[in-house]
Amino acid sequence: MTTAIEQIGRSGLRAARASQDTLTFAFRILARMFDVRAYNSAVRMVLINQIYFTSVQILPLFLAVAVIFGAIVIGIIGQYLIHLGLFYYFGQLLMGFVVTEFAPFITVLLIALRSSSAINAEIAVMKVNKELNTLYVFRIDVINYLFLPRILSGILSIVLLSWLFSMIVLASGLIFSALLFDMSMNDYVTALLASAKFSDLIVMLIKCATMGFFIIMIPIRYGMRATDELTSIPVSVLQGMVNVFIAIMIIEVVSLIVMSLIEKFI
Amino acid sequence: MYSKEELLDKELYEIMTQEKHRLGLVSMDAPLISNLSVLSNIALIKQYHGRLSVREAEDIARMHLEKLHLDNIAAKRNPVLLEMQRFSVMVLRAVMVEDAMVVIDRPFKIMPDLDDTRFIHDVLTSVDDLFQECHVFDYLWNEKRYTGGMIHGA
Amino acid sequence: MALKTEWKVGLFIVLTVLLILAGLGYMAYKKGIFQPENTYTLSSRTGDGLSVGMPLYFSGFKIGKIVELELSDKGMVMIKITVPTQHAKWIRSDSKFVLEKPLIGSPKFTVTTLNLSSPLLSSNSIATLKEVNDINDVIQMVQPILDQVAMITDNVERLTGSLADPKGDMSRILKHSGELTGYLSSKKSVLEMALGDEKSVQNIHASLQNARNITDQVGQLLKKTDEELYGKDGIIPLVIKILRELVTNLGKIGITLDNVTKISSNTAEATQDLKLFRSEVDSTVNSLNRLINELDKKIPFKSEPKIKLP
Repeated sequence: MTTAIEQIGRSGLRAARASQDTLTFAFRILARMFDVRAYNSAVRMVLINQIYFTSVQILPLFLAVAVIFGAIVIGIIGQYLIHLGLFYYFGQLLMGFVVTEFAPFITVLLIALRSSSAINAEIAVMKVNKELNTLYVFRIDVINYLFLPRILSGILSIVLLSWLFSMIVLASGLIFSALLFDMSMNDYVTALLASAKFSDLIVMLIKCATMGFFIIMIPIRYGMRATDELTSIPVSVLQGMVNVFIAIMIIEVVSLIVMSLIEKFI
Repeated sequence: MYSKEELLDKELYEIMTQEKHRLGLVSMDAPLISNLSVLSNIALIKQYHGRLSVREAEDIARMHLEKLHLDNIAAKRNPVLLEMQRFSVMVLRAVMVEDAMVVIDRPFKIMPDLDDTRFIHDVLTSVDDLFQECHVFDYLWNEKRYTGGMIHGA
Repeated sequence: MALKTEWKVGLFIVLTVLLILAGLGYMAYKKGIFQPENTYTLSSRTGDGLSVGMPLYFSGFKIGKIVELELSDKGMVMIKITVPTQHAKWIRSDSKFVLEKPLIGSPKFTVTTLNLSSPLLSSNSIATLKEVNDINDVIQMVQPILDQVAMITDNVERLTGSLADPKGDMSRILKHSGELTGYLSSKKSVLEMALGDEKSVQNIHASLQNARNITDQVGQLLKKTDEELYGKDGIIPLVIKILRELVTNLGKIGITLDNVTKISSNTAEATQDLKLFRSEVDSTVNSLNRLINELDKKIPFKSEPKIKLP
């Protein structure tokens, strides 16, 4: 009995310590993000390459997913609303669900599956290959050169791709609303504008940036935990990805709480 | 020359710590960055410490690669390089450090098939205007492979 | 490669940012963010139901919003509203600002303008906000109904007691209804059935006979002088008056007789009608008697009646 309680306590302490380490690391990166001296052509090059790999390379797949998912979601939502006699809320659902929830979630999911796992593996391989030692020997700051551009690329990519996803879904919604529900463009735009709130969009922007930060920072941290053994690479990727999904869920919940608080008090 | 690995590592660590601001290390423990090309690996040092633009840093790197007749491998990455190519690139990267003190750690570990130090000597001679001093760390049992007064140590 | 990558990344960022800015700009433009606004101040006794950001509707369209709520030194709630300049034309000096508090749903802040040629409302003037509270209105409307319901409940209670009472009206009515049915089966006249006794029927017949006699006498009178007939105090106007009274009374008798036929379905109403019938018959008899008396006074020659009833 005592051992079991000790075990629970140990696990709790470990989790608390891990959370504290993650947050401390996050603050260190954030502080560095606003330090101009951290940036040079090498960092910019990494940043450009990362944005290319994270956002540009994924574009064809991403656009296809946006159109398909957008059509499906709008079709299903519209049909259900008509069935329930609540089509009046179509605009609200598009803005409140598709733009502020669905678009960031799908974007984060795609980027996490593609880039977070790649970055986790990349850092772990660099650690095993002693390439991080090279950077240390040549006095190249690992945070500035390796982490900062990747995290910035994550933030920028998630923000831009989420907006792009929203735009594409709303544009495809315009076409599908006309085809499926015989809704005119004017009615569609009016319904959207009536439900669009700048506060929601700002919360969405902050949420996307936060998600972008954590879905790259967590894999980097877990990549750094790899040992000199090759077998530590998959272990670190696995742990990193699990924690990325936990982080996504936590940020989603926190953003929902923040949104409801804004709705209540402002 | 060191008779034991521990001794070598200790001495190497000391010199790395003392001269870390001008250290240009050539070692298997400081490999080339595998997701960068040869050109970018060399240019990185000038980009980072010299705060040069990508183009400027890469032009310098390309010039030195041409000097060593290695311009054909500029776009290649570490895993596909031959041992001597890899060593040459590591030396070039080391000499990119301002007022560099080049430290070569166990060169025969990087190029196990090499019989003597003539190749090492040739590479260093090609870029001797780019570094101030050079130190080679190796084991005593490799002593006979060194020629031309490159030996010092315990 | 590097330049190509840089170009692609740059193009992606520029295009996406432009797309986002265009979307946000369009939204801001459509929402009137860039439009200049007029500010008006309203006063209200209470700030209940009001909140900052609450939209102002005109003819169902959102034309402005509440931007500030504060309490004045006199304890009044001062409401600052902003209306984009393009919508300011709907707000005139005689516009009525109303806070509608529906029974179900959230309050609605509206402005109505009946006369659009009135001068525009000045930003310095303070208009009054009227509150239309559906809940209170409903309670006020419902209160008299509730009082009536209470009265009806009392009446129903009394009626129930009366119905249960063996000596009560209902029992009597039922008894009379039974008798009425008996009369009906004995094929007596409807009048007798309604009145319940033969004497009354005979009175009616006598009244009718009298009416015929009067008519005959009037016929005789017509042959007399024009003055006597058409003078201000002549006989004919008097006769017409009395005859009208007679006809009216007889008409009432007819309606009463109709109601008697409904006796089985509405006993209470029939009881009333039966009483009415008796009084009407008495009234008819009295009218006819008065007529006879008047005619006796004015006409000495009452023999040989010739005029027939129409």
